[in-house]
Amino acid sequence: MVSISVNGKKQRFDGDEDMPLLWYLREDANLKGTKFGCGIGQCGACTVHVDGEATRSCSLPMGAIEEGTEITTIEGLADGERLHAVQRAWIEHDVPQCGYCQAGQIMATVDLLKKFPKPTDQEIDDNHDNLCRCGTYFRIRKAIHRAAELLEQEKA
Amino acid sequence: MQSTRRDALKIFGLGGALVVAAPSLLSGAAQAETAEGLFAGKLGPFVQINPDNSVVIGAPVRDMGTGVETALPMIVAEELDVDWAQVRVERMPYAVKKDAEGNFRELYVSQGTGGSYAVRMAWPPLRQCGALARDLIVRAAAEHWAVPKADVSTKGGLVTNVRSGENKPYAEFVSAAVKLDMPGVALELIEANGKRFEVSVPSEADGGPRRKKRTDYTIVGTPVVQENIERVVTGTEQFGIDIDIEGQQYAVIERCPYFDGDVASYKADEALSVPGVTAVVQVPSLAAEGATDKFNAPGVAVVATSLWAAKKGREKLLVTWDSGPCTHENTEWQRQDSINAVKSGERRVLFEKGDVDAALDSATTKIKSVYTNPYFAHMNMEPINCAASVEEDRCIIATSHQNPEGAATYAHEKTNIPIEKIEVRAGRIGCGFGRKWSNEFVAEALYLSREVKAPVRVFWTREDDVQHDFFNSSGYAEMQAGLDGKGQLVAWHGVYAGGWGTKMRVFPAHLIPHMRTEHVIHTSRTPLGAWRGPGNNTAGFYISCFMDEVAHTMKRDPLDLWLELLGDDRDLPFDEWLPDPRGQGLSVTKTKAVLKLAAEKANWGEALPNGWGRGIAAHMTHGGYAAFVVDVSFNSQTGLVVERVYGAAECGLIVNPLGAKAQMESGVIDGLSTVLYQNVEIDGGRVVSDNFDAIPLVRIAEAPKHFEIHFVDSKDEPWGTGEMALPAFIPALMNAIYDATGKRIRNLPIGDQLTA
Repeated sequence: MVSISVNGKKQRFDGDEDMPLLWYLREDANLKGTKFGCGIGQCGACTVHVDGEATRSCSLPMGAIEEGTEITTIEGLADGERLHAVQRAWIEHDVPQCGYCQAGQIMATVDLLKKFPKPTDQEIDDNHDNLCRCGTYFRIRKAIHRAAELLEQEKA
Repeated sequence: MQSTRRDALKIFGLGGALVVAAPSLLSGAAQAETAEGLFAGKLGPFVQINPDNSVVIGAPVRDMGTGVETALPMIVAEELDVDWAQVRVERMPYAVKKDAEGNFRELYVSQGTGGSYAVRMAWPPLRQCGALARDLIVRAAAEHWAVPKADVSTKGGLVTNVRSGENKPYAEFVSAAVKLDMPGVALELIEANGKRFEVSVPSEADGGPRRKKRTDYTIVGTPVVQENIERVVTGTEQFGIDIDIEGQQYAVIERCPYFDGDVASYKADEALSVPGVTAVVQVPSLAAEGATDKFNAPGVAVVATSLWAAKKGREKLLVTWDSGPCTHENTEWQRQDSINAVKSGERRVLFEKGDVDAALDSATTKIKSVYTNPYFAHMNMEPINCAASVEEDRCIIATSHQNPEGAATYAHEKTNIPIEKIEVRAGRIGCGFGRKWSNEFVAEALYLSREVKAPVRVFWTREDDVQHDFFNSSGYAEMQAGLDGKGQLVAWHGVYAGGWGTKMRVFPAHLIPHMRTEHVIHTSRTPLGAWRGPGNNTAGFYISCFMDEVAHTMKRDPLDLWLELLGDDRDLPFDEWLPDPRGQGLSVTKTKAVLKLAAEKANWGEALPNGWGRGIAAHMTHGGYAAFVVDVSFNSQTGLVVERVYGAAECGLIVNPLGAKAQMESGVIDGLSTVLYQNVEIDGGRVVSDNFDAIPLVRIAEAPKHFEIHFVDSKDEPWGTGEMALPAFIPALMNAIYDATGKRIRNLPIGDQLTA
């Protein structure tokens, strides 16, 4: 039995500890914004924040999650009605095509921008490797830079 | 006219994803209908105007990354003459209607998405419906003001009495407008790339509604951020995989990995002992009787109360396979199979002109090259998935499907449940690329739901999705060209071996005095299916790379050679399923336009930095013309870098430039992924590749950072954009690699050929 917080809500889990976090989120918690892509941590469609760190939830078994861990999914990213700067940048640059990978792209970017508040193209290349099968990378790159600007403005 | 008020009411039936069909049809003479009667109180199938003058427009085709849930409503909004800011888009339920022979036909527009045809096919009916709705408002306003129609104008959702200058919102006239007779307006069965019911509306000359002039457009042709994007970025959009059916169980199927193999025996005890597992069910081949191609792979399903339990149960399942008749197949065997097919198979001529054999015999210079490509997998971000609930008298299907009509019809045929009792809950499609058109994944879910008498979601892992994909065919193309004594290109011969045809009827067909292209089918049993730009995706590679070789042999600039061969602007005959049905030929004019535009934007001929190379190519796919100039660099430290991409396209009027550019960007990345990574490995008569570790596909680090897409200002109606970029981009890229490195890569994927 473990108590965790999902998008700020306390939850208890006492099921199969082998089950990856992804399936807890999608089925037990009915948070379907986090997507299944590969099951082996290769594509990043399932990226969520575990204590603030971008994590591929398909490869994190529930048994490895400690008491009191805070999980944030795409559904919990916005501050109420106000979208996160990364989400707003994604809309501004009309990033998604099919959209399936974009929750993961956005969650990964939020963490990237914590580590690299003004990332260079090289830093993006070295630290962001979520797969987008539609090939929205040109716009993702622009949106990452734009989100960095928006976040800087918010701080100011 | 074949419609009743009852039909209409059922069509808009309350909220659900349901749709449906007229139980009986009127066969009498046409009569003037009202919108109230024909469209259940709305101003047409796609238009609803609320009392606050906000506008809801229906999106009839599912988005799979193609932007059609934005582009199609834009067309309606344009003719309706409202501001896009007033508009909210709602995904429409999938809808069919029975014709006089009892066949089910799609209603209002073609609702499938594939073949780059969603926008092209929907353009005429959506314009009609938008114009009809506006006309009803104008007529109601004219009656109200007692002025002729000509004295009423519209703009931004307001009607104006031109005589008095008085303005009113559309909303004030809706209740009057829906009661007006609509002479000549009817639901008509039309035939154009399949039969369906569309709303026919008289032309302007026959007293019908005004259609806007292109110069008056305020929405179509402007960059519009896609509708419902907020749902995507907040994780609230529903894809097929997210749509649960109440009470559903989960199934994973251990499918026979061998081509044409089957289950020999299985032991279920251990799987059944996993907590949550409720059943183990053998799934036979569900192919239609007499079918020889793969439908579903037979297997054994583990059904459980949770997905995780089903997956654990499958790990405990013991299945032995009848490995079938194809265990000799592996990648090398398949290559030899293609060579044998070229040598001794039955060839089908695609295009022929002059006497190519004699011209090659007497050629002073002969150029001969072989190009090959492996099978390509779809690797859709959202794996195949389907949930089904089959009860005695009703059926629900929840899935991502490119052709919901096909899924419903299939379910009807298999279950005998009336089609009006079959509900297709079709979500946004997390990539399709042709894969999500088939019904075998629907068939499995229907089968299992019937077997276990409960709703069942069949879950496909990534490994299931890759190993049971329907692949783009491998290809083997022998290309030959001949130059005469003056160094002129006089002969061209291409022969292609693969699992199906290739689109080698495109240029340089017609342009060379002696030419023949032909194809021959190999014998491999690897399952095949549509994959972005079927037949074109590799034809572009063979043709435009070989032409580049010819140009280099002739010591000609490849762009100059193409333009010289193309010659004067004109259309030439083209015998393919597309660009029909609008009867367009193979356009020299458009090919030259895209080549010139890409070259101009790239400043073709300029000096490049050391270590860089540049290539150019053009290709027509499904009526859309694309050309690319690609710049690459190569050195041993950084490897291959795609430095700059300049794309040009002529695909008719661009409805949404932002969306159309996205499609071009997508084709470029997909093309790059293809040449770098697509390499489905076959061994022992089964697919060995199974996930993104085997086929990683391009990530952001490899994506070009300089990207320009330009559209030719076209006078034509809109054509599709989804498939045309990749077939033109791949050869431009490969030609650039040759220019940079001197290495002509003729076998895909590139692998270590640049460093070896």
